[in-house]
Amino acid sequence: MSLSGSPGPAARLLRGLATLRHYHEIAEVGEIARRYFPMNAFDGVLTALGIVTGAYFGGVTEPASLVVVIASASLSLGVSGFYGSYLSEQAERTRALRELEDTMLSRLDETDVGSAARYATLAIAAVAGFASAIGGLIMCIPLALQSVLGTAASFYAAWGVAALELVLLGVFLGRVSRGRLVVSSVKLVLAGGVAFVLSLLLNVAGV
Amino acid sequence: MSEVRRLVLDVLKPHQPTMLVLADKLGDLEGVHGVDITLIEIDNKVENIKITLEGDDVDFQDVAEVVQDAGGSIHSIDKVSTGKRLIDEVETPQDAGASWLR
Repeated sequence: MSLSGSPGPAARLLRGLATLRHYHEIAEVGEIARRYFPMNAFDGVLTALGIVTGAYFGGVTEPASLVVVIASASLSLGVSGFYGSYLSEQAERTRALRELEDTMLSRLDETDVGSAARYATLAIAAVAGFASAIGGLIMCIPLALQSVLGTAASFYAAWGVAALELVLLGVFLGRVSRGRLVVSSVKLVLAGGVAFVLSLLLNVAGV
Repeated sequence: MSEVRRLVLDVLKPHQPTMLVLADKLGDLEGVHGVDITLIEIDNKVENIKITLEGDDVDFQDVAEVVQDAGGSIHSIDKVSTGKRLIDEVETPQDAGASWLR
């Protein structure tokens, strides 16, 4: 506590965090964020994987030049993930709040229930946006290191990073479902393999 | 002015925040020594609860603020006890005579 008797910055921060945790529990953010995160991250990884694979089989010899392409695509996916989930979550939360207000016969906007609904909308949108962008952005790292790794190795490393991200997503989903981590990881890597083969077939077909 | 020592409220609230959270917040209020919340009725979206508070100075405005922040609305004040010490309702012959009606 500060000398003036008002709470200091640390106390205010702790109180703010406690309030957010309170909203987090009321609005049951955790479960919905757990759904959005792997779904959007999976989209991000597969999009970047498609770009890298298409570039490799399309004859691109400067993988570093893909960094800006993938980063732009990832950021666009991030914006899309944020806005898409923000708007849909806001619509659902507002509807649920209005239904609750009808039952309670009172307005709830200025209560913890209303604040928690607004917090949930933003928190879930942030998770969805971050998840959409992060997978592709991480794949930029080996491509940016082309001068160190060499052309072919930076492509291989990007595929390796994509596979690793898919494995980690599989582990995440396996932990959520309390199932077998290896099985859920293999399922996601197989999906990556399907995307890889489709890109390859496009090249073989001469598209 | 004498202090409120016991307060019983009939409250309608959403399922979230839970009774645990509400009891915790009410228990933190100054002048409140004990909180009891009983579930009376539960519906699809809301629940009807009875809140009993005891202390040496229970402030109704503070209690109402906590309940309203939790999205609840106070339907009625069902019992208030004030004074230097806590006393219970006394049963009279009229109450006993009418007990067969209940």
